Amino acid sequence: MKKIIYVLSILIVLILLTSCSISTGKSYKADGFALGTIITQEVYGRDARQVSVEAMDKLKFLEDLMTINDLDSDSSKLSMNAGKGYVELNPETISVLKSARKISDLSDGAAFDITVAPVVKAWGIGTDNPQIPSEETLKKLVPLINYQDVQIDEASNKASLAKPGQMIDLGGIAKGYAGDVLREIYQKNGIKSGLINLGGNVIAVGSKPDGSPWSIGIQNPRSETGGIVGIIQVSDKAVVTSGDYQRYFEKDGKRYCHIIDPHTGYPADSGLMSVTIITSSSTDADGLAKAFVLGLDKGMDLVKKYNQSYSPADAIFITTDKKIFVTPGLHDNFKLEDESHEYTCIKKG
Amino acid sequence: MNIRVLKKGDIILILCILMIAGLIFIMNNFASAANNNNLIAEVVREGNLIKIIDLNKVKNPEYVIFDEGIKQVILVEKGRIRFLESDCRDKFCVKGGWLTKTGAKAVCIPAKTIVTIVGDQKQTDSNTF
Repeated sequence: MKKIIYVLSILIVLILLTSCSISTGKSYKADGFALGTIITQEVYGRDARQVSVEAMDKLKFLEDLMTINDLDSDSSKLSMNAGKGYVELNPETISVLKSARKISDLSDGAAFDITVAPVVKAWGIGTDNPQIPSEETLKKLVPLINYQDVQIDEASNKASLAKPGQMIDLGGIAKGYAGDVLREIYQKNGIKSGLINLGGNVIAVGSKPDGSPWSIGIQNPRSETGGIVGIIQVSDKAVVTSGDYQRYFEKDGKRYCHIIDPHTGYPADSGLMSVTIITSSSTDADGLAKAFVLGLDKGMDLVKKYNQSYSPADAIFITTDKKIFVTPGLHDNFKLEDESHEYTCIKKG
Repeated sequence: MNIRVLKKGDIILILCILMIAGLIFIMNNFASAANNNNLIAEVVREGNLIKIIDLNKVKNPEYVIFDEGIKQVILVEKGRIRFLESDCRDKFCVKGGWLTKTGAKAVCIPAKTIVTIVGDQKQTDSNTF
């Protein structure tokens, strides 16, 4: 009898030892396309596959609401009715409009403004025919940019644009919003560990299954092969980057990036190549990354202001002279990993 | 529990089981070490897994050709893989050059083609761009 007990107990120990890697390894990785970009999900836990499918379905739903390429989208509805009063929109769109307002308010519309759309269209950056609009065109269009003209009636899920000709482009915040929505889907389904990448916007859900933080690479803005300049460790955070390399065109040796300065109507030219924001809200991180427009000092001030008004945020600013400035929360976290040996890291107070 | 209750047979049995456990452990490690020497590339187009290639076993250059939709050519050589040609607008996929390391990925968004070198030995878990 004792023998049987010994044998059984040893077998149980062995089974436990060999099976532990199986029980923690319930993961599902999926690549897909939505929001005009590549979506990568790494989900750990029960029903991981199902959760990733639910997430993709939700992304497609959000894309249909926010896109400017479809006349039936909420974005188009609002733009087509500019100057004509309120239109009813999906509550999700109202929620994005509210978040956009919050981030625009932080810089009085100097960094981020969704009503920049008519000017974005005139430049055509990211389309087949990018061009430099005439000064006359810009003179006509820039006065249409004013985020305060987006009026929101939350109680009835309605919004309006004050002046005829005004348009919105949610491209600067929709991906960010989608990140928060996906994290909620994960959490609702009991997923404690996951990693979402929405075309470069990273959302870390919890930590890795072994409890250690996720390591996230920061892209080298001048590497065409996706090389990185550094690594940070994060848990439960969104990491979002805006840069001059994502979409741009060159004319007469000058680079025109896709991020438009709402005050001038010209592509941002502020001495920065990229801005990465690390904070809890993916929506806010996306909007804040447009601190890119403001340049190093004013951009850093914007991040500080967000810190004081809302919640802790850190940032990585990379300047055109290849210096990397990191905020205090990252001083011990950011690790320079620069294969090109061209960048230096400066710890900002 | 008193150790003296163990008979000679018990000890032999325990030793045997421990040896088997040790063997399993070594075999598992060998198996994963062998896996590390594999460099597996996956080519996915429009959600369909088109091809799995062990890059270290490639002798002569191989091509994966897509003639339908956006035309593309993927070149496979020993230890590396890349988009060679693509009819898409920006050609980011071609500019990305060779993929050589585990975790490396090249994507063509217009053609919905993804080339990945799969595995766990990655420098980072994900990248922001």
